[in-house]
Amino acid sequence: MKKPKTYINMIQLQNINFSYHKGRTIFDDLNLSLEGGHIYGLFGKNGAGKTTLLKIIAGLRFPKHGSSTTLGQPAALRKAEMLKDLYFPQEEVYVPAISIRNYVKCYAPFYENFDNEQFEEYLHLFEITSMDDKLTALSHGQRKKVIISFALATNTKILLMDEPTNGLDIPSKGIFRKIMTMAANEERLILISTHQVRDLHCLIDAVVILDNGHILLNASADNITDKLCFKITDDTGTDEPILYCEENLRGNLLVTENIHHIETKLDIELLFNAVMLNKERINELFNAKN
Amino acid sequence: MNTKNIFNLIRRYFIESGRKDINSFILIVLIIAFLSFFSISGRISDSMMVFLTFLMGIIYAGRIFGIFLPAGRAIHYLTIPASTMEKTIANGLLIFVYFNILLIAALLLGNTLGGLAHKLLDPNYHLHFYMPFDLDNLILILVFESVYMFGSIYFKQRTAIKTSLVIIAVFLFFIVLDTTLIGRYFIHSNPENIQIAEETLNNINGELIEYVVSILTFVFFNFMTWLRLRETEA
Repeated sequence: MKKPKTYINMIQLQNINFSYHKGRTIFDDLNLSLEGGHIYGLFGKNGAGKTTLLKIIAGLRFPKHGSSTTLGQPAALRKAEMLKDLYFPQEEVYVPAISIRNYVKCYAPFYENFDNEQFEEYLHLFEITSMDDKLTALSHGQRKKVIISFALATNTKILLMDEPTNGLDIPSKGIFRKIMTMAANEERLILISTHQVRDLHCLIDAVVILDNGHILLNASADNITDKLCFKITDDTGTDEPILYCEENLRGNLLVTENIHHIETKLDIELLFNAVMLNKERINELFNAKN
Repeated sequence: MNTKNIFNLIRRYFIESGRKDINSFILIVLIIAFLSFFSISGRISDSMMVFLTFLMGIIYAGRIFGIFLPAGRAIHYLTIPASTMEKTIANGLLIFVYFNILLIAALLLGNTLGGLAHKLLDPNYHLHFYMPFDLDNLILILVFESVYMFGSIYFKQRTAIKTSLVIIAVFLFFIVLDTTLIGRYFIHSNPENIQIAEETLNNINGELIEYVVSILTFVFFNFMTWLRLRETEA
Protein backbone atom coordinates (compact mmCIF):
# COMPACT_ATOMS: atom_id res chain seq x y z
CA MET A 1 0.00 0.00 0.00
CA LYS A 2 1.22 3.48 -0.91
CA LYS A 3 2.33 5.38 2.18
CA PRO A 4 0.70 8.80 2.47
CA LYS A 5 3.08 11.72 2.15
CA THR A 6 3.65 13.74 5.29
CA TYR A 7 4.59 17.40 5.41
CA ILE A 8 5.97 19.48 8.26
CA ASN A 9 4.31 22.54 6.80
CA MET A 10 1.36 21.74 4.62
CA ILE A 11 1.20 25.37 3.55
CA GLN A 12 4.30 27.45 3.15
CA LEU A 13 4.24 31.02 1.86
CA GLN A 14 7.57 32.81 1.59
CA ASN A 15 8.15 36.48 0.84
CA ILE A 16 4.86 36.83 -0.97
CA ASN A 17 4.19 40.07 -2.79
CA PHE A 18 0.79 40.45 -4.36
CA SER A 19 -1.20 43.30 -5.82
CA TYR A 20 -4.18 43.51 -8.12
CA HIS A 21 -3.95 45.27 -11.45
CA LYS A 22 -5.28 48.53 -10.05
CA GLY A 23 -2.10 48.82 -8.06
CA ARG A 24 -3.06 48.50 -4.37
CA THR A 25 -0.60 46.22 -2.64
CA ILE A 26 -2.35 43.38 -0.83
CA PHE A 27 0.67 41.48 0.49
CA ASP A 28 4.13 42.81 1.03
CA ASP A 29 6.77 40.23 1.87
CA LEU A 30 4.27 37.97 3.60
CA ASN A 31 5.47 34.78 5.24
CA LEU A 32 3.25 32.05 6.62
CA SER A 33 3.67 28.40 7.57
CA LEU A 34 0.74 26.23 8.56
CA GLU A 35 0.85 22.69 9.91
CA GLY A 36 -1.59 19.83 9.81
CA GLY A 37 -3.73 18.87 12.79
CA HIS A 38 -5.10 22.37 13.38
CA ILE A 39 -8.20 24.37 12.68
CA TYR A 40 -6.84 27.81 11.91
CA GLY A 41 -8.99 30.91 12.05
CA LEU A 42 -7.93 33.53 9.52
CA PHE A 43 -8.94 37.01 10.59
CA GLY A 44 -8.48 40.49 9.21
CA LYS A 45 -10.33 43.66 8.45
CA ASN A 46 -12.39 44.00 5.28
CA GLY A 47 -10.04 44.15 2.31
CA ALA A 48 -7.10 42.75 4.28
CA GLY A 49 -6.73 40.00 1.69
CA LYS A 50 -8.14 36.94 3.46
CA THR A 51 -9.86 35.53 0.38
CA THR A 52 -6.86 36.40 -1.78
CA LEU A 53 -4.63 34.51 0.65
CA LEU A 54 -6.87 31.43 0.39
CA LYS A 55 -6.77 31.74 -3.39
CA ILE A 56 -2.97 31.94 -3.45
CA ILE A 57 -2.81 28.80 -1.31
CA ALA A 58 -5.19 27.04 -3.72
CA GLY A 59 -3.17 28.20 -6.76
CA LEU A 60 -5.96 30.43 -8.04
CA ARG A 61 -3.96 33.65 -7.70
CA PHE A 62 -0.31 34.02 -8.59
CA PRO A 63 1.93 36.18 -6.40
CA LYS A 64 4.16 38.71 -8.15
CA HIS A 65 7.11 37.59 -6.04
CA GLY A 66 7.80 34.88 -3.52
CA SER A 67 6.86 31.24 -3.36
CA SER A 68 3.65 29.54 -2.38
CA THR A 69 3.92 25.84 -1.67
CA THR A 70 0.92 23.70 -0.85
CA LEU A 71 1.44 20.05 0.11
CA GLY A 72 4.98 20.29 -1.16
CA GLN A 73 3.92 21.50 -4.64
CA PRO A 74 4.15 24.98 -6.12
CA ALA A 75 0.52 26.05 -5.72
CA ALA A 76 0.33 28.01 -8.99
CA LEU A 77 0.93 24.84 -11.03
CA ARG A 78 -2.41 23.47 -9.78
CA LYS A 79 -1.18 19.91 -10.15
CA ALA A 80 -3.77 17.16 -9.81
CA GLU A 81 -1.78 15.65 -6.91
CA MET A 82 -2.20 18.88 -4.96
CA LEU A 83 -5.83 19.50 -5.93
CA LYS A 84 -7.00 16.02 -4.95
CA ASP A 85 -5.91 16.79 -1.40
CA LEU A 86 -7.37 20.29 -1.22
CA TYR A 87 -10.95 21.49 -1.14
CA PHE A 88 -12.02 25.11 -1.28
CA PRO A 89 -15.72 25.76 -0.76
CA GLN A 90 -16.33 29.41 -1.53
CA GLU A 91 -18.41 31.96 0.31
CA GLU A 92 -20.88 32.13 -2.58
CA VAL A 93 -20.96 28.48 -3.51
CA TYR A 94 -21.30 27.55 -7.16
CA VAL A 95 -23.49 24.56 -7.86
CA PRO A 96 -24.36 22.98 -11.20
CA ALA A 97 -28.00 22.28 -12.12
CA ILE A 98 -27.93 18.62 -11.07
CA SER A 99 -29.19 16.58 -8.12
CA ILE A 100 -27.12 15.99 -4.99
CA ARG A 101 -26.78 12.33 -6.01
CA ASN A 102 -25.40 13.32 -9.40
CA TYR A 103 -23.08 15.87 -7.83
CA VAL A 104 -21.52 13.02 -5.89
CA LYS A 105 -21.34 10.90 -9.06
CA CYS A 106 -19.62 13.80 -10.87
CA TYR A 107 -17.07 14.89 -8.33
CA ALA A 108 -16.48 12.12 -5.78
CA PRO A 109 -14.35 10.05 -8.23
CA PHE A 110 -11.76 12.84 -8.23
CA TYR A 111 -11.17 12.39 -4.49
CA GLU A 112 -9.61 9.07 -3.53
CA ASN A 113 -10.68 9.31 0.11
CA PHE A 114 -14.24 10.43 -0.44
CA ASP A 115 -16.52 8.68 2.03
CA ASN A 116 -20.14 8.46 0.96
CA GLU A 117 -21.31 7.33 4.41
CA GLN A 118 -19.74 10.37 5.98
CA PHE A 119 -21.36 12.58 3.36
CA GLU A 120 -24.80 11.15 4.04
CA GLU A 121 -24.26 11.46 7.78
CA TYR A 122 -23.36 15.15 7.47
CA LEU A 123 -26.35 15.76 5.21
CA HIS A 124 -28.55 13.98 7.72
CA LEU A 125 -27.22 16.19 10.54
CA PHE A 126 -27.95 19.24 8.40
CA GLU A 127 -31.46 17.84 7.87
CA ILE A 128 -31.09 17.47 4.12
CA THR A 129 -32.99 14.30 3.49
CA SER A 130 -33.37 13.90 -0.25
CA MET A 131 -30.40 13.14 -2.44
CA ASP A 132 -32.56 13.74 -5.49
CA ASP A 133 -33.12 17.44 -4.86
CA LYS A 134 -31.68 19.62 -7.58
CA LEU A 135 -28.89 21.77 -6.18
CA THR A 136 -30.02 24.91 -8.00
CA ALA A 137 -33.49 24.50 -6.47
CA LEU A 138 -32.08 24.67 -2.94
CA SER A 139 -31.75 27.87 -0.91
CA HIS A 140 -28.34 29.48 -0.50
CA GLY A 141 -27.99 28.05 3.01
CA GLN A 142 -28.97 24.54 1.91
CA ARG A 143 -26.54 24.62 -1.01
CA LYS A 144 -23.86 25.62 1.41
CA LYS A 145 -24.71 22.73 3.70
CA VAL A 146 -24.41 20.27 0.80
CA ILE A 147 -21.09 21.68 -0.35
CA ILE A 148 -19.68 21.79 3.21
CA SER A 149 -20.78 18.17 3.73
CA PHE A 150 -19.18 17.18 0.45
CA ALA A 151 -15.99 19.11 1.26
CA LEU A 152 -15.62 17.36 4.61
CA ALA A 153 -16.43 13.94 3.15
CA THR A 154 -13.63 14.27 0.55
CA ASN A 155 -11.20 13.86 3.46
CA THR A 156 -8.67 16.07 1.75
CA LYS A 157 -5.61 17.02 3.77
CA ILE A 158 -6.35 20.72 3.35
CA LEU A 159 -9.70 22.41 3.64
CA LEU A 160 -9.91 26.12 2.91
CA MET A 161 -13.17 27.72 3.95
CA ASP A 162 -14.26 31.27 3.20
CA GLU A 163 -17.00 32.52 5.52
CA PRO A 164 -18.52 29.04 5.91
CA THR A 165 -21.23 30.09 8.35
CA ASN A 166 -22.54 33.01 6.26
CA GLY A 167 -26.02 32.08 5.14
CA LEU A 168 -26.47 29.30 7.69
CA ASP A 169 -29.35 29.63 10.14
CA ILE A 170 -28.70 29.57 13.91
CA PRO A 171 -29.26 25.81 14.50
CA SER A 172 -27.14 25.00 11.46
CA LYS A 173 -24.21 26.95 12.87
CA GLY A 174 -24.20 24.59 15.85
CA ILE A 175 -24.39 21.58 13.55
CA PHE A 176 -21.57 23.05 11.49
CA ARG A 177 -19.38 23.20 14.62
CA LYS A 178 -20.32 19.62 15.45
CA ILE A 179 -19.43 18.19 12.07
CA MET A 180 -16.24 20.24 11.89
CA THR A 181 -15.18 18.64 15.15
CA MET A 182 -16.04 15.23 13.71
CA ALA A 183 -14.05 15.92 10.55
CA ALA A 184 -10.92 17.39 12.14
CA ASN A 185 -7.99 15.05 12.65
CA GLU A 186 -4.24 15.05 13.21
CA GLU A 187 -3.43 15.00 9.51
CA ARG A 188 -5.87 17.60 8.37
CA LEU A 189 -5.34 21.32 8.08
CA ILE A 190 -8.47 23.44 8.13
CA LEU A 191 -8.14 27.14 7.45
CA ILE A 192 -11.28 29.16 8.01
CA SER A 193 -11.54 32.78 6.98
CA THR A 194 -14.36 34.52 8.77
CA HIS A 195 -15.73 37.62 10.43
CA GLN A 196 -18.21 35.54 12.42
CA VAL A 197 -15.85 34.89 15.33
CA ARG A 198 -18.66 33.96 17.71
CA ASP A 199 -19.70 31.12 15.38
CA LEU A 200 -16.33 29.51 15.48
CA HIS A 201 -14.46 30.53 18.60
CA CYS A 202 -14.79 27.14 20.30
CA LEU A 203 -13.68 25.36 17.15
CA ILE A 204 -10.53 27.22 16.30
CA ASP A 205 -7.29 26.09 17.90
CA ALA A 206 -4.92 28.46 16.12
CA VAL A 207 -5.23 32.04 15.01
CA VAL A 208 -3.81 33.87 12.01
CA ILE A 209 -4.32 37.64 11.88
CA LEU A 210 -3.69 39.48 8.66
CA ASP A 211 -3.17 43.22 8.47
CA ASN A 212 -1.71 45.64 6.00
CA GLY A 213 -0.12 42.97 3.86
CA HIS A 214 1.54 41.12 6.71
CA ILE A 215 0.79 38.35 9.17
CA LEU A 216 0.48 40.06 12.56
CA LEU A 217 -0.09 36.89 14.49
CA ASN A 218 0.16 33.17 13.79
CA ALA A 219 -0.15 31.29 17.05
CA SER A 220 -1.96 28.38 18.63
CA ALA A 221 -4.74 29.08 21.13
CA ASP A 222 -2.56 27.61 23.90
CA ASN A 223 0.30 29.87 23.01
CA ILE A 224 -2.00 32.87 22.99
CA THR A 225 -3.55 32.15 26.39
CA ASP A 226 -0.08 31.45 27.70
CA LYS A 227 0.98 34.97 26.84
CA LEU A 228 -2.27 36.89 27.09
CA CYS A 229 -5.02 37.02 29.66
CA PHE A 230 -8.71 37.54 28.80
CA LYS A 231 -10.89 38.62 31.69
CA ILE A 232 -13.94 40.55 32.81
CA THR A 233 -13.48 42.90 35.80
CA ASP A 234 -15.47 45.64 37.47
CA ASP A 235 -12.52 47.98 37.30
CA THR A 236 -9.37 48.23 35.26
CA GLY A 237 -7.11 47.96 38.30
CA THR A 238 -4.52 45.35 37.43
CA ASP A 239 -0.76 45.17 37.63
CA GLU A 240 -0.59 43.41 34.27
CA PRO A 241 -0.02 45.60 31.19
CA ILE A 242 -3.41 46.21 29.57
CA LEU A 243 -3.46 45.72 25.84
CA TYR A 244 -7.14 46.28 25.29
CA CYS A 245 -10.15 47.31 27.33
CA GLU A 246 -13.77 47.37 26.32
CA GLU A 247 -16.67 48.41 28.49
CA ASN A 248 -19.91 46.50 28.34
CA LEU A 249 -22.88 45.76 30.60
CA ARG A 250 -21.04 42.92 32.34
CA GLY A 251 -18.07 45.11 33.22
CA ASN A 252 -14.71 45.73 31.60
CA LEU A 253 -13.46 43.21 29.11
CA LEU A 254 -9.70 43.18 29.33
CA VAL A 255 -6.81 41.74 27.42
CA THR A 256 -3.62 41.91 29.40
CA GLU A 257 -0.19 40.38 29.21
CA ASN A 258 -0.22 37.16 31.20
CA ILE A 259 2.69 37.84 33.51
CA HIS A 260 1.20 35.79 36.36
CA HIS A 261 0.49 32.79 34.12
CA ILE A 262 -3.21 32.71 34.81
CA GLU A 263 -5.26 30.31 32.73
CA THR A 264 -8.05 32.09 30.86
CA LYS A 265 -10.25 31.33 27.88
CA LEU A 266 -9.36 32.79 24.50
CA ASP A 267 -11.76 35.43 23.21
CA ILE A 268 -11.00 35.91 19.53
CA GLU A 269 -12.83 39.19 19.17
CA LEU A 270 -10.94 40.76 22.08
CA LEU A 271 -7.70 39.25 20.81
CA PHE A 272 -8.24 40.75 17.37
CA ASN A 273 -8.84 44.21 18.81
CA ALA A 274 -5.86 43.91 21.13
CA VAL A 275 -3.60 42.86 18.27
CA MET A 276 -4.78 45.73 16.08
CA LEU A 277 -4.03 48.26 18.83
CA ASN A 278 -0.66 46.83 19.89
CA LYS A 279 0.99 45.53 16.78
CA GLU A 280 4.55 46.06 17.91
CA ARG A 281 4.05 44.66 21.41
CA ILE A 282 2.26 41.61 20.01
CA ASN A 283 5.13 41.08 17.63
CA GLU A 284 7.58 41.26 20.55
CA LEU A 285 5.51 38.87 22.66
CA PHE A 286 4.94 36.23 20.03
CA ASN A 287 7.98 36.46 17.83
CA ALA A 288 10.59 36.84 20.58
CA LYS A 289 13.32 34.24 20.24
CA ASN A 290 13.23 33.34 23.93
CA MET B 1 -1.12 12.45 -17.18
CA ASN B 2 -3.91 10.34 -15.78
CA THR B 3 -6.49 8.93 -18.22
CA LYS B 4 -8.85 8.29 -15.31
CA ASN B 5 -9.01 12.03 -14.67
CA ILE B 6 -9.80 12.69 -18.35
CA PHE B 7 -12.52 10.07 -18.22
CA ASN B 8 -13.94 11.61 -15.03
CA LEU B 9 -13.92 15.08 -16.57
CA ILE B 10 -15.84 13.86 -19.62
CA ARG B 11 -18.21 11.89 -17.42
CA ARG B 12 -18.77 15.04 -15.36
CA TYR B 13 -19.71 16.93 -18.53
CA PHE B 14 -22.26 14.31 -19.55
CA ILE B 15 -23.84 14.18 -16.10
CA GLU B 16 -24.09 17.98 -15.95
CA SER B 17 -25.03 18.73 -19.55
CA GLY B 18 -26.14 15.45 -21.17
CA ARG B 19 -29.85 16.13 -20.91
CA LYS B 20 -29.50 19.68 -22.23
CA ASP B 21 -27.44 18.32 -25.14
CA ILE B 22 -30.15 15.82 -26.04
CA ASN B 23 -32.81 18.54 -25.97
CA SER B 24 -30.84 20.90 -28.21
CA PHE B 25 -29.93 17.98 -30.50
CA ILE B 26 -33.59 17.12 -30.99
CA LEU B 27 -34.42 20.77 -31.64
CA ILE B 28 -31.67 21.13 -34.23
CA VAL B 29 -32.65 17.86 -35.97
CA LEU B 30 -36.22 19.14 -36.22
CA ILE B 31 -35.05 22.49 -37.64
CA ILE B 32 -32.93 20.71 -40.27
CA ALA B 33 -35.81 18.31 -41.09
CA PHE B 34 -38.17 21.25 -41.44
CA LEU B 35 -35.76 23.19 -43.68
CA SER B 36 -34.94 20.20 -45.88
CA PHE B 37 -38.62 19.30 -46.19
CA PHE B 38 -39.43 22.75 -47.54
CA SER B 39 -36.39 23.00 -49.80
CA ILE B 40 -36.85 22.20 -53.46
CA SER B 41 -33.92 19.80 -53.62
CA GLY B 42 -35.08 17.92 -50.55
CA ARG B 43 -31.96 18.82 -48.64
CA ILE B 44 -30.70 21.97 -47.00
CA SER B 45 -28.36 24.21 -48.92
CA ASP B 46 -24.65 24.39 -48.19
CA SER B 47 -24.96 27.94 -46.88
CA MET B 48 -27.74 26.87 -44.54
CA MET B 49 -25.55 24.00 -43.38
CA VAL B 50 -22.76 26.44 -42.59
CA PHE B 51 -25.22 28.56 -40.64
CA LEU B 52 -26.53 25.57 -38.68
CA THR B 53 -23.01 24.36 -37.99
CA PHE B 54 -22.23 27.80 -36.62
CA LEU B 55 -25.42 27.83 -34.55
CA MET B 56 -24.72 24.41 -33.10
CA GLY B 57 -21.14 25.45 -32.46
CA ILE B 58 -22.25 28.42 -30.41
CA ILE B 59 -24.74 26.36 -28.39
CA TYR B 60 -22.35 23.50 -27.63
CA ALA B 61 -19.15 25.53 -27.34
CA GLY B 62 -20.89 27.73 -24.79
CA ARG B 63 -21.90 24.65 -22.85
CA ILE B 64 -18.57 22.86 -23.05
CA PHE B 65 -16.46 25.94 -22.43
CA GLY B 66 -18.74 28.05 -20.28
CA ILE B 67 -16.15 27.55 -17.63
CA PHE B 68 -16.02 31.02 -16.14
CA LEU B 69 -19.69 31.89 -15.88
CA PRO B 70 -21.54 32.32 -13.59
CA ALA B 71 -19.25 33.82 -10.96
CA GLY B 72 -17.66 31.16 -8.82
CA ARG B 73 -17.66 28.62 -11.61
CA ALA B 74 -14.05 29.40 -12.46
CA ILE B 75 -12.87 28.52 -8.95
CA HIS B 76 -15.02 25.40 -9.03
CA TYR B 77 -13.59 24.33 -12.39
CA LEU B 78 -9.97 25.25 -11.74
CA THR B 79 -9.90 23.35 -8.44
CA ILE B 80 -11.24 20.10 -9.91
CA PRO B 81 -8.40 17.66 -9.24
CA ALA B 82 -7.07 17.23 -12.74
CA SER B 83 -4.09 18.86 -14.41
CA THR B 84 -4.44 21.67 -16.96
CA MET B 85 -3.34 19.26 -19.68
CA GLU B 86 -6.02 16.74 -18.65
CA LYS B 87 -8.66 19.48 -18.67
CA THR B 88 -7.54 20.70 -22.11
CA ILE B 89 -7.60 17.16 -23.52
CA ALA B 90 -11.04 16.43 -22.03
CA ASN B 91 -12.41 19.65 -23.52
CA GLY B 92 -10.72 18.90 -26.83
CA LEU B 93 -12.29 15.43 -26.98
CA LEU B 94 -15.70 16.92 -26.25
CA ILE B 95 -15.49 19.63 -28.86
CA PHE B 96 -13.53 17.87 -31.61
CA VAL B 97 -15.01 14.38 -31.33
CA TYR B 98 -18.30 14.49 -29.46
CA PHE B 99 -19.55 17.75 -30.92
CA ASN B 100 -18.67 16.76 -34.50
CA ILE B 101 -20.39 13.39 -34.10
CA LEU B 102 -23.47 15.26 -32.89
CA LEU B 103 -23.18 17.70 -35.79
CA ILE B 104 -22.90 15.00 -38.44
CA ALA B 105 -25.68 12.97 -36.79
CA ALA B 106 -27.98 16.00 -36.63
CA LEU B 107 -27.41 16.89 -40.28
CA LEU B 108 -27.82 13.27 -41.47
CA LEU B 109 -30.86 12.62 -39.32
CA GLY B 110 -32.51 15.96 -40.04
CA ASN B 111 -32.06 15.63 -43.79
CA THR B 112 -33.28 12.04 -43.74
CA LEU B 113 -36.37 12.96 -41.72
CA GLY B 114 -37.09 15.86 -44.08
CA GLY B 115 -36.64 13.52 -47.05
CA LEU B 116 -38.95 10.90 -45.53
CA ALA B 117 -41.61 13.55 -45.02
CA HIS B 118 -41.11 14.58 -48.64
CA LYS B 119 -41.54 10.97 -49.72
CA LEU B 120 -44.81 10.69 -47.84
CA LEU B 121 -46.26 13.46 -49.97
CA ASP B 122 -44.51 12.50 -53.18
CA PRO B 123 -43.98 8.73 -53.57
CA ASN B 124 -41.77 9.34 -56.62
CA TYR B 125 -39.32 11.33 -54.56
CA HIS B 126 -36.00 9.55 -54.40
CA LEU B 127 -34.73 9.46 -50.85
CA HIS B 128 -30.99 9.90 -50.61
CA PHE B 129 -28.67 9.96 -47.65
CA TYR B 130 -26.75 13.15 -47.61
CA MET B 131 -23.25 13.29 -46.15
CA PRO B 132 -23.09 16.83 -44.92
CA PHE B 133 -19.39 17.52 -45.38
CA ASP B 134 -16.16 16.10 -46.72
CA LEU B 135 -12.69 15.92 -45.20
CA ASP B 136 -11.80 19.47 -46.26
CA ASN B 137 -14.86 20.86 -44.53
CA LEU B 138 -14.17 18.78 -41.46
CA ILE B 139 -10.61 20.12 -41.23
CA LEU B 140 -11.94 23.67 -41.60
CA ILE B 141 -14.50 23.05 -38.85
CA LEU B 142 -11.79 21.63 -36.57
CA VAL B 143 -9.70 24.75 -37.10
CA PHE B 144 -12.64 27.01 -36.28
CA GLU B 145 -13.47 24.92 -33.23
CA SER B 146 -9.91 25.24 -31.96
CA VAL B 147 -10.21 29.03 -32.32
CA TYR B 148 -13.53 28.98 -30.44
CA MET B 149 -12.03 26.78 -27.76
CA PHE B 150 -9.26 29.32 -27.23
CA GLY B 151 -11.80 32.17 -27.31
CA SER B 152 -13.85 30.49 -24.61
CA ILE B 153 -10.84 30.42 -22.31
CA TYR B 154 -9.51 33.84 -23.31
CA PHE B 155 -12.73 35.78 -22.91
CA LYS B 156 -14.72 35.49 -19.73
CA GLN B 157 -18.10 36.66 -20.97
CA ARG B 158 -20.00 36.25 -24.25
CA THR B 159 -17.16 34.13 -25.52
CA ALA B 160 -18.83 32.96 -28.77
CA ILE B 161 -19.79 36.48 -29.87
CA LYS B 162 -16.42 37.99 -29.01
CA THR B 163 -14.52 35.17 -30.72
CA SER B 164 -16.73 35.51 -33.81
CA LEU B 165 -16.05 39.26 -33.91
CA VAL B 166 -12.31 38.66 -33.68
CA ILE B 167 -12.47 36.09 -36.52
CA ILE B 168 -14.46 38.53 -38.68
CA ALA B 169 -11.99 41.33 -37.85
CA VAL B 170 -9.05 39.12 -38.82
CA PHE B 171 -10.74 38.20 -42.12
CA LEU B 172 -11.52 41.84 -42.85
CA PHE B 173 -7.93 42.75 -42.06
CA PHE B 174 -6.65 40.24 -44.62
CA ILE B 175 -9.19 41.33 -47.21
CA VAL B 176 -8.17 44.95 -46.76
CA LEU B 177 -4.52 43.96 -46.81
CA ASP B 178 -5.06 41.97 -49.98
CA THR B 179 -7.10 44.54 -51.87
CA THR B 180 -5.19 47.62 -50.84
CA LEU B 181 -1.60 47.13 -49.86
CA ILE B 182 -0.71 44.00 -51.81
CA GLY B 183 -2.95 44.82 -54.73
CA ARG B 184 -2.03 48.46 -55.06
CA TYR B 185 1.63 48.46 -54.19
CA PHE B 186 2.76 45.03 -55.27
CA ILE B 187 0.71 43.65 -58.14
CA HIS B 188 -0.69 46.76 -59.82
CA SER B 189 2.49 48.78 -59.53
CA ASN B 190 4.11 46.49 -62.05
CA PRO B 191 2.01 44.30 -64.41
CA GLU B 192 4.83 41.76 -64.53
CA ASN B 193 4.16 41.04 -60.89
CA ILE B 194 0.75 39.60 -61.80
CA GLN B 195 2.45 37.01 -63.96
CA ILE B 196 5.02 36.29 -61.25
CA ALA B 197 2.24 35.85 -58.68
CA GLU B 198 0.26 33.51 -60.94
CA GLU B 199 3.34 31.41 -61.73
CA THR B 200 4.24 31.18 -58.07
CA LEU B 201 0.73 30.07 -57.20
CA ASN B 202 0.76 27.46 -59.98
CA ASN B 203 4.08 26.05 -58.86
CA ILE B 204 3.15 25.46 -55.28
CA ASN B 205 0.83 22.74 -54.08
CA GLY B 206 -2.04 24.85 -52.75
CA GLU B 207 -3.86 21.92 -51.21
CA LEU B 208 -0.82 20.79 -49.28
CA ILE B 209 -0.21 24.30 -47.98
CA GLU B 210 -3.85 24.51 -46.95
CA TYR B 211 -3.54 21.29 -44.95
CA VAL B 212 -0.27 22.33 -43.35
CA VAL B 213 -1.61 25.77 -42.41
CA SER B 214 -4.81 24.20 -41.04
CA ILE B 215 -2.91 21.68 -38.93
CA LEU B 216 -0.53 24.35 -37.65
CA THR B 217 -3.42 26.66 -36.78
CA PHE B 218 -5.20 23.80 -35.00
CA VAL B 219 -2.10 22.87 -32.99
CA PHE B 220 -1.33 26.53 -32.26
CA PHE B 221 -4.77 27.31 -30.82
CA ASN B 222 -4.86 24.10 -28.79
CA PHE B 223 -1.47 24.94 -27.35
CA MET B 224 -2.64 28.50 -26.62
CA THR B 225 -5.75 27.12 -24.89
CA TRP B 226 -3.62 24.96 -22.61
CA LEU B 227 -1.28 27.87 -21.93
CA ARG B 228 -4.11 30.28 -21.20
CA LEU B 229 -5.87 27.80 -18.91
CA ARG B 230 -2.61 27.31 -17.03
CA GLU B 231 -2.21 31.05 -16.60
CA THR B 232 -5.82 31.70 -15.66
CA GLU B 233 -6.45 33.18 -12.23
CA ALA B 234 -9.76 33.26 -10.44
